Amino acid sequence: MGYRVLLVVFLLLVCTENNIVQRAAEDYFPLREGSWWQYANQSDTVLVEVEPQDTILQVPCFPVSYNGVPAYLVKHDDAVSQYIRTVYNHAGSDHTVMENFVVRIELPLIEGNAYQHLLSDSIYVASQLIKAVYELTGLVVGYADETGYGNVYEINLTTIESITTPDTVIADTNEVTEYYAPGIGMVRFQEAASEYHLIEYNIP
Amino acid sequence: MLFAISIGIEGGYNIPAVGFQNIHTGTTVSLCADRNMGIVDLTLSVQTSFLTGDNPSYTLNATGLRLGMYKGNWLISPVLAVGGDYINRGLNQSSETGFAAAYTIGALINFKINRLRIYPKVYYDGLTDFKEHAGFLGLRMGIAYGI
Repeated sequence: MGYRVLLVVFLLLVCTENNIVQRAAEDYFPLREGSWWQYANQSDTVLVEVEPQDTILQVPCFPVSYNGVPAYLVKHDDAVSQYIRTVYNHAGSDHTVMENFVVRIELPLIEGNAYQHLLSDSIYVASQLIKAVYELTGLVVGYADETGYGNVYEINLTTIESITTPDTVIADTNEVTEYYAPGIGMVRFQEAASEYHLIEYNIP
Repeated sequence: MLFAISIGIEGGYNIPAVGFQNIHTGTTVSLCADRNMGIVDLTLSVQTSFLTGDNPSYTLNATGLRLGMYKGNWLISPVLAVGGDYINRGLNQSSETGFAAAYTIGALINFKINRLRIYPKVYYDGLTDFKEHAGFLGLRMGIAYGI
């Protein structure tokens, strides 16, 4: 009888799609210099590369190139943060209204974790108050077992970036859904109506 | 002297050894009942581990059963155990749960005073969902009383 119970437990563990040890033990964000991931949709490809470490605002971070456009990411114990800089152009010259790191993804990934992080700052340009706000809302929707990847997390990220001048408010909203696999990183992302899939990657 | 049956309690400290990059340290408590089976002593224990993450808001709890064996009449004895754990990991207000197979490999030193047995134990406590394995190194102090 005891052996049957053990056999049932063993089979349940083997057959389950809920691999909690994998999710707890594996690194879902292998952010290392030289890593690259290539994604494709029906008509386009995106190459994401981690470049040699740099320092911004005295924070060591990795420039991550998205088809040549860099984003600066830093990974801490509790989050992956991204460098944000908002520039206001006045009379042909750029003025930095706000720059700082903001949490992009809270770590470790846990199903249902919802968070919101905000940056805001203001400066005077030509005696006018210019205010910038960057708001990021994240939700770890859940995980699903995907063949070849294991338990893959789905994360919804919404960003609202705005600049307020005495005359106008310019706001830009962006929504993206990203999928992360253990030991690999992002394996898929959806932006607007387009979905990109990982086709090749290298993690040194 | 060998005891036919004994009951005891163990408590100790864990650090991640394989995987669990987000875990900092943890503590473990277990209640156990031992029975001498002639060649070896069998142990049935209920144990719970509470681990805190490098992110202070992150916690991992593993609670489960272990069936183990050791040699009670050796001064230094190997320890082997297998079982299963119910795992709960949480961050802020969110949490997720699952099951994992568990195993323990280690050694203990038996100190006996009449019916009392005191034993420090070092061990590796492994967890697996058969896709990934991870585990902790631990140090525990146990005390058991022969009935």
